[in-house]
Amino acid sequence: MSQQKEPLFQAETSRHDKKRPLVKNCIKAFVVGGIICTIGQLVTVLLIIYFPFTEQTAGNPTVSIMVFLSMLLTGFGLYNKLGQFAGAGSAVPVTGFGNAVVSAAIEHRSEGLVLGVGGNIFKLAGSVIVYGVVSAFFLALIKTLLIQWGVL
Amino acid sequence: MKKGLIVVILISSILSGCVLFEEKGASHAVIHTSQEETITQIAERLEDTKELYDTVVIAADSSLLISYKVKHLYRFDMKGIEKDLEAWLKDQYPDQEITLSSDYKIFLESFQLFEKLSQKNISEKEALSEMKKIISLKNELT
Repeated sequence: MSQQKEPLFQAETSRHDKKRPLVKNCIKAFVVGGIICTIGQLVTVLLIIYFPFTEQTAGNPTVSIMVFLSMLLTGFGLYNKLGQFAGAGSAVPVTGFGNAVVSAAIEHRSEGLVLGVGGNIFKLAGSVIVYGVVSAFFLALIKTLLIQWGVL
Repeated sequence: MKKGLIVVILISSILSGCVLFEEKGASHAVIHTSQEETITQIAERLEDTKELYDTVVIAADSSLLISYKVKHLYRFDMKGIEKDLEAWLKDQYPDQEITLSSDYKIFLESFQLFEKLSQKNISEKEALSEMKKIISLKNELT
């Protein structure tokens, strides 16, 4: 039913729509995402210089520090301001994961600690964990098999 | 105020990258004096490899520790460089335990050990245990 009306309707609405500044948004996201990654690199270098981590092993603690920082910033209400300005630039690096966890927890705090916070804390970030674990499982399986067969 | 703070943090974080590219030059040291010939040989080989710029070679009787930095343009071929060097070393020194690394942390630690060795304020025993520590750090996995 709506399919007959849609082309006309859409043409009409898009005529009145404000055009999205796509290129500008992309540049903003690129710059802010790059700055976040620069800070991550800084954390890696600090871990290498002042703690017994090598370039190989410094990756995991860096990720957790960056997630923790973005969780703090989300709690103070600063990260959503950044997200409004940068869009995907603040969501795509791992810091977006911390933001997704904490913002869901804050949002559902009024429904109580168990059913509210506990039930909803992984509402957004849960899919990251599920698909991350599943794809890691299959990749590890493939790698193990390839090593067993002597390909790698 | 806020903008100034952001600019300061940005500039300091970008400039902190410079510490990674501070050139130290080729350096080599021995723990046991019987290995002098070994390190000059290895240093010559490393000098000939145009992809490397900072190298540290530390030799003991039973083990060799070599760390290096790869020039930025050649970092895509890091695996190949390591393979070539390792094959050459294994061929030349078959009865020594060889540790080869391009990791920055290994470089830092072995450079510190080199400085201590060249200033002669470390005993042979301490130097050996420190070298062992670096080797175990290199073999550590996530």
